[in-house]
Amino acid sequence: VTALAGSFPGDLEIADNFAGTPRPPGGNKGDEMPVKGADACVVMLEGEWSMDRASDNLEFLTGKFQQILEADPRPDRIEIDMAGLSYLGACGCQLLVVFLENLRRHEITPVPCSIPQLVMDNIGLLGFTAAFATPVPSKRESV
Amino acid sequence: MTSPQTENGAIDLKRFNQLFFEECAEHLAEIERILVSLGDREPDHEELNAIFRAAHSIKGGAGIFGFEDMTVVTHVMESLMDRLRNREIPFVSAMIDLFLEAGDVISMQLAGHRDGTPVRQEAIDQVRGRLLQLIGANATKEEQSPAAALPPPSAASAATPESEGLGDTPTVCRYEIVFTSDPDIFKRGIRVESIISELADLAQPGEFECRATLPELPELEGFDPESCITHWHFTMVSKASRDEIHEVFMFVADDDQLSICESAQPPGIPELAPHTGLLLAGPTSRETDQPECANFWATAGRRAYDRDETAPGAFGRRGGEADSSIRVNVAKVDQLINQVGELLITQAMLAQIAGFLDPVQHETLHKSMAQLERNTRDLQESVMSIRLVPISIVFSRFPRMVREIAAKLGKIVELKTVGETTELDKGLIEKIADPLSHLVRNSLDHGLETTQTRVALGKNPAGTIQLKASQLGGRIVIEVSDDGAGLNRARILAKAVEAGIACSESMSDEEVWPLIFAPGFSTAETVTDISGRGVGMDVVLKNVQSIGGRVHIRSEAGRGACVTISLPLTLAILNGLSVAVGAEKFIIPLNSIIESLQPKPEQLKSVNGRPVVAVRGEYLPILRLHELFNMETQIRDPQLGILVLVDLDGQKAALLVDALLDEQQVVVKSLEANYRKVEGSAGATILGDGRVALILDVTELFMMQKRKQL
Repeated sequence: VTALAGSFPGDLEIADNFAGTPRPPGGNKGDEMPVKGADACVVMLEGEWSMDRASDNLEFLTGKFQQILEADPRPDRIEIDMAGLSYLGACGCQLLVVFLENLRRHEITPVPCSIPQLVMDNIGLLGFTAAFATPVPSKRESV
Repeated sequence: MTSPQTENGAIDLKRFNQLFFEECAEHLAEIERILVSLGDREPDHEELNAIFRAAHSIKGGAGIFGFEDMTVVTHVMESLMDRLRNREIPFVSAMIDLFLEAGDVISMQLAGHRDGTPVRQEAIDQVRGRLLQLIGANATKEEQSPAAALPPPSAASAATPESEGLGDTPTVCRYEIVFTSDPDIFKRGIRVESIISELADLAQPGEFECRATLPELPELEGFDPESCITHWHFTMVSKASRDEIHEVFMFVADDDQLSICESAQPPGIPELAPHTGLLLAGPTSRETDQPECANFWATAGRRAYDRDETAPGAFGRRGGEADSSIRVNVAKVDQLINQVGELLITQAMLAQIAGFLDPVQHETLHKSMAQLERNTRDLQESVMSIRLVPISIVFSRFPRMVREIAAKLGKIVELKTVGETTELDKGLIEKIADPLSHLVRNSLDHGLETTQTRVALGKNPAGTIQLKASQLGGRIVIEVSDDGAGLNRARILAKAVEAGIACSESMSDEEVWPLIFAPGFSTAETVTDISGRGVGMDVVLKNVQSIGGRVHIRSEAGRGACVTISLPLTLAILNGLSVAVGAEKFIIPLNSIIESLQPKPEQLKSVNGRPVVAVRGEYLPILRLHELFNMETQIRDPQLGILVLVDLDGQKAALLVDALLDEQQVVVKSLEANYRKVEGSAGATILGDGRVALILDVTELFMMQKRKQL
């Protein structure tokens, strides 16, 4: 199920330092230069999102979240590329939902996309479908 | 649910696994009990449901705890049960044997996970294949593979047909369920998706909805990702009962973490609305749609103690409707017993000190001491009763064993059990199982004649084996009897001569029968896989003796044999009589004492140069404790001391002691564990004055005396 819909303001770039799951401790936090808004528009998720990786995944998301908030200009949409996910358990799913909701709280719309079928199945089973729902693009965007 | 953390904060998963292992073993025992009780008849709907539920619980638990391999056989078994229940396939008696085999395979897998014992994959594949064969060639993909049976989560609704009609309640109900998970559920390695999947299995097709909510949104920074803050809301239409829904959450939710609200589903109700998927908890329009569940949404996301601290489930307390039993680790019970034992010793010490005080001046103290003694005795009895379990736990394994061995031997055998509710210390129960098993096998193989022989002898073609348990005084007596040929005296004597065991024709039956306890002794003509290698009876005797028990055999040619095992009620605390010998004190178990007396000169005789005392026409050998234990004493003449007459299974003797001191309850401490084995003692205890006293093992004293005389 590919959930990406519409297009984003500006070009989408997948910055290298955003790819991959575990990040070095503090690697993406305040010690880095703020990134450009366009760079902050994609978050790539990879690997196994289970209890065992929860701390690493939190660290990655926290760094990512910080970068997004500090981006100039701050993006209003973020693409969450989930194509690289091999497993999303309840623990990983909850963490991801906390991340998505924190983005929404800051009026940033997360757009989960390229969700593998197995992962989508688990999201549905766990009752988190709504959190991963794709926002309906505005008319202007869908043109 | 509590979170068992180890010292370094890590979660001890083993404890939860252990809970599953125990539950699983109970379910397997239940399946076996029902199957064996069937004989060859077709199970009724209730019995099928009971087996189905047990298999379903094993499968669910195995899935939750990550023992996926255990779901393979249970899943196919469940499918077959379901088809039987729906009359889609006919019942054949061979199914019972196959289900029993399937149970064995699951037990093997369970043992593999629990004890690390080897698991034979070919046996699993074979049983699974045979189960599938019985289901028929048109077994669905779901029936073949538990993984394939998971409902597609997009609707989480594709409940397999086999889930339809599950349970005893045929009424279709609409359930609103809120699962407020334990925050540690992730750390315990529980797969929430497996639980939800199992719940979805219970729903009618297309009638399951799951919605996860976060009661409040935490900041990402500082969020504990391993802590579960999600609440799950389920709406489903199902034929399953409340109990079956509860079973799904058996290992993961306490009463206050699960709310189930049900209402009868009116016919023709439209399908559930698709996911609304509200993420953050809060009242919705559905609040008003569910008048029958007035507090359904109100309870969501709130613990019981937030709402009403006096509620039955508040602060994790169990509600009034909670189970009447709890599962407690045996080590904890043992610790409690040990502590009560220490309390008894302290109480004895206080009593001894109080004994020196003037009873008039310290009347209140003495009254209080008497009260303390009563209280500690009551406490001790209550605590000891915790360890007592019914012997039916052991007896229940025999119906199947008898059924299978009888079938192998081509004999018709009826097993009768009497006194199954007799209670015995848990430690003893575990150790008595093997000896009883040996005895039942022997009865089946050697005791009972073949059907043809029985008919020729004018006996009932069906042989009978009876297991009987009862409590006699301070001991538990278990009898294994059969109505077979009885022991063959001539053959036993001949074999004993062959084995070089001292014996003669003049020996009484009571002396001949114990010969079969000699190591390697077997009168069987042929060695079978059931018995006859002669390694059984000596093991029986050793095992029974190791737990303070005794074995006695009665036999009558052509009428059958009876082996009686007598065991102490408990191993931890006993009533004893403290006696003095020289500077030492000993404890004689009260249940072996007949009486004590100071003999008159005319009562003291000598038989074959050995001193005896004549009591009411009986001549009892005198056992001088100071000689047996090589001690110094002033009292060497029985006339100056006291003779304590003891009786163990009809074997009587008189123990010579200096003085009788007191009757008291003593806590048995293992000498082997704390020092070394001391011959003639069954352990030791700590007396009120802090000294250690040996607890006498009267049987061993008899043996020591015999050796001394030789």
